[in-house]
Amino acid sequence: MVAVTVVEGVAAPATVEAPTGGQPGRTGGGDRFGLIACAVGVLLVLVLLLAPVLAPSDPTSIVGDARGHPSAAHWFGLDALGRDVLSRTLYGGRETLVIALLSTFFAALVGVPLGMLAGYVGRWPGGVTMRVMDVFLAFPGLLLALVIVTIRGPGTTTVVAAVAVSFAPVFARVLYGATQRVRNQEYVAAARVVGCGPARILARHVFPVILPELIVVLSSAIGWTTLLSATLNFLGFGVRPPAPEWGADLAAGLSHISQAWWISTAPGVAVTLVILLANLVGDHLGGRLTRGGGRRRRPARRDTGDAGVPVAEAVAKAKE
Amino acid sequence: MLAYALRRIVVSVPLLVGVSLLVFLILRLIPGDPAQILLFGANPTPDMVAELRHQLGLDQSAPAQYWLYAQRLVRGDLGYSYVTNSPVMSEIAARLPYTIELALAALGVALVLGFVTGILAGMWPGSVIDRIATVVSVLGLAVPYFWLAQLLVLIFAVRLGWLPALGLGGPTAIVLPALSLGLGFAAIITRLLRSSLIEVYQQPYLLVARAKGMAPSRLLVRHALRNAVGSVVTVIGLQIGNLFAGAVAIEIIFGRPGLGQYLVSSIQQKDIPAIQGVVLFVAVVYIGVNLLVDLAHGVLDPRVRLGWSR
Amino acid sequence: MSAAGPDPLLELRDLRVRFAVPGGTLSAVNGVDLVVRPGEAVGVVGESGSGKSATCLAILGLHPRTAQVSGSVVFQGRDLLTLSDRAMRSVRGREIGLVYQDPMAALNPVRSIGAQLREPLMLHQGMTRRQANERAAELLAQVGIYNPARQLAAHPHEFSGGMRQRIVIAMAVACRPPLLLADEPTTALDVSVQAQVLDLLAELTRDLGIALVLISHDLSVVSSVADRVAVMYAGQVVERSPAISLFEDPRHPYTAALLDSISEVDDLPPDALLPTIPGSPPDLRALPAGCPFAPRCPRAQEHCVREPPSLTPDLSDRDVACWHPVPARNASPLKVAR
Ligand SMILES: Nc1ncnc2c1ncn2[C@@H]1O[C@H](COP(=O)(O)OP(=O)(O)O)[C@@H](O)[C@H]1O
Ligand code: SF4
Ligand SMILES: [Mg+2]
Repeated sequence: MVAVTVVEGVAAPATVEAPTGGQPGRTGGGDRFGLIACAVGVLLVLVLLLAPVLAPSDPTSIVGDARGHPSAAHWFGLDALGRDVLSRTLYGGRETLVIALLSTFFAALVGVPLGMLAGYVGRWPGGVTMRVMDVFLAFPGLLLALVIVTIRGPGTTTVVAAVAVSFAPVFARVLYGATQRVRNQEYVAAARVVGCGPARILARHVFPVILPELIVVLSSAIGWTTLLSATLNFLGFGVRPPAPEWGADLAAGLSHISQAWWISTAPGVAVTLVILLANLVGDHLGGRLTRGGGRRRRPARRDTGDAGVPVAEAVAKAKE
Repeated sequence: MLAYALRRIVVSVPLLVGVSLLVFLILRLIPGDPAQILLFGANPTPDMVAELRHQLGLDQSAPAQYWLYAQRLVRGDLGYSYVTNSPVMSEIAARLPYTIELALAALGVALVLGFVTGILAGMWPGSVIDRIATVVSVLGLAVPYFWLAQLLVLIFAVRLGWLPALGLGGPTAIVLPALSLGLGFAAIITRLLRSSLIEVYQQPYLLVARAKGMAPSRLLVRHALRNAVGSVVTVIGLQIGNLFAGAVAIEIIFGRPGLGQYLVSSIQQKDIPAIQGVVLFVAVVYIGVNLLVDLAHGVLDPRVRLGWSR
Repeated sequence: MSAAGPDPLLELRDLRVRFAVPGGTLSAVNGVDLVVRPGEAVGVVGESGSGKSATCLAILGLHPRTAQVSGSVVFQGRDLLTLSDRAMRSVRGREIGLVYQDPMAALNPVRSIGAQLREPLMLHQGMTRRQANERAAELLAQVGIYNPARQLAAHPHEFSGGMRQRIVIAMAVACRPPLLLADEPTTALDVSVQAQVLDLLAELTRDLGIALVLISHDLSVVSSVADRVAVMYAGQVVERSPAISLFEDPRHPYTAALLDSISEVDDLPPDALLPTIPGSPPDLRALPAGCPFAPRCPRAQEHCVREPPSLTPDLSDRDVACWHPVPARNASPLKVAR
């Protein structure tokens, strides 16, 4: 994920450009993609919001032959029961995206204050908090999510909880590192001297500084929460059968892949698109926000654009 | 180096304790009484339930239960499956080879493809190869592996008939699962290696090395890769966890009786000791792999073992 | 410098280096002519950005492929610009060594200094690993590193900047090249060790009979070591002169301004200020038609802006690229008579 550049960008903002090392040409390409990605992302959200208007039919009613080919009437074909794949994909996306956004929100709600407090307080309370986060991070995300599924039983709220639990430590990790870096800056010390309490300092002096980094992590996290919630639905731990959802519909398409590839194609493309957009937008924001609005030109760095190297990378960097 | 290794190993001990505690908590946090779950359908008398609770140690305090649990873990005892009544450890052992095979094959795919394309793209940024590699890897990062698996089956098994889609039949059966799981990982390696290499190639010490008369190939192997690979290695370690996690869906898609499939069916059957066992096992393997990776990083880069952050 | 002498070791003729950059073409080096004879020490001075490093890298053929390099770099009778990659590689390190400006960045941080010192020896002199190790230890001793055999296993971060620069120097002279290029070898060092490293460089090259091209933005550094000095401005050599006469009697207005700016800050600690001249160097993407120094030159006249001056012999041992050079300070009647 973008965090490669993010974390480094904040840590070492003033990279000296070696005069002989600069690579000519090729700048701003990433920016253009980023802007397009933002636009497509907005469009996608609009399309999903307007699903009731745009969808040709009800996502759960049977409107034709089972496994009907894509046709003028049913652009993306019909599924194993004869339901319209396009309608299911439009409605299913609402489900997937709501889960992804909610779980990202809850993960940030827990992880961000936790990481900031731990980073600001430091010493043993901060250390212990982060060791606990490390315990959570010692489980691959999906496994942690499956633990939550085990505890709560399947269902949409479970998926939200599961995804949130597996991402909260990631937010804590990244924010911990960012806060630690800001903590020792002069303006924070000055605020302390003036007598500001920790809550006020964190809110007024630390948060605005690390906000860009947070936004970048947030936007990329949406891609990964989308993948994880689709995975849990794919495994059958999410929505109940007739309800449409991308991961669940991908699972439904699996057994018909040899006769009706189109059943899983639309939801597959949709998940891919969302992750792609999240990565590109995150990368774009990473370039904008953490490099001073792109005023400081860093051709070499721009050229290395790190679109979408996953959360693990953010954590790896934050750990250093 | 030895001091660094010891420090690293010591640091992972509390992590292991924490992991075991968390896994232990699964049982405590599940609503309902495990004894009731076990005796479900048997129409148990309160005496039977009490007897079973005693057998399972459920009548003791939580710390005492954890202590018991931890002692058994140290002996390699993961408890008994509610479903089959056999030791979870042997259930895991029976399925592990399939998952290891899948994980290693996927890792192989990821390393070979990731390194080849990452090096080509990193040595010639902006070239045609680089552009293709960039587009493919950005896509590769976005395609969910459980859809990629379906696409590969459709193309290589259904349409072309080159490779089997299901089961364990012969060495070719591993190809599609390994590709499904490994391609995304390869994309990660490609992108990371590319950006590290580009950065390293701009370092003055590479210019100085060239001024010594070194050929590009030696320069790559002796100087550039050695520097670039450090950060990549760390991420490879962290991604190993995702290989195990990804195996869950891939094993189900390709009908491989590995740990992932076992985990999902255990969750469906509420076989709590089995769930705990698999989750704990994977976490411990993951911690172990990352320990090894950290040690490797220490060997590769002396600054790491001295605790210098770059 | 028309004075007769042994055949030149290195002769730059009309060397030009251009880079394609976003705003057009950047002309970093604009027709440099320079001669280096075997065993002598030549200084190159100029402000930052005047093309010193670009010249140096052009000699070694180390510019990126996208750079346009023209003119000729005649070294021991061959034009290096026409050599194949392979042939060029056997020149680098073996016949021309490089000491880079920033010792903190010149050594690969993840490899032992032994490994880095062995490389040129094994590459160019066909030594075995063991022979190279022995030689590497000798080299370290030669540049003043204690306990050399044990230090071979150490990594760069275990040394101070001055020590690292000594190691870089050892690496550059490992194959006893006839020519050593030292690009700002002391700029990044603490003032306290600058003189030591400079002395080492001067002594080592003198003892081994290596010709030295010493590049610096600091006239005093260069003139303490070099026999002759070339002053660069905007990618051109604007004055060439024996070191002593340059100091006593600068002819080019730019050299004079450089010297003035040094004497103004004389009472300050040496690292307090870099010499500064009012105004700034021209934009290398759009060089003026006439003399590039004209906008900052106190002696400029109208035609300076239109006609570029070329490097022409002024007196027997001085070359100046200027229409109105500073008059010789204590011009001897003999010279005037010429
Ligand atoms: N690879 C490159 N690409 C673009 N511009 C370059 C490159 N190398 C050097 N330059 C430019 O050429 C000019 C001369 O640089 P340099 O030779 O490094 O100056 P100095 O005299 O300080 O060593 C500078 O303006 C620099 O920015
Ligand atoms: S040519 Fe003219 S402008 Fe240029 S240095 Fe000489 S006097 Fe000054
Ligand atoms: Mg320079």
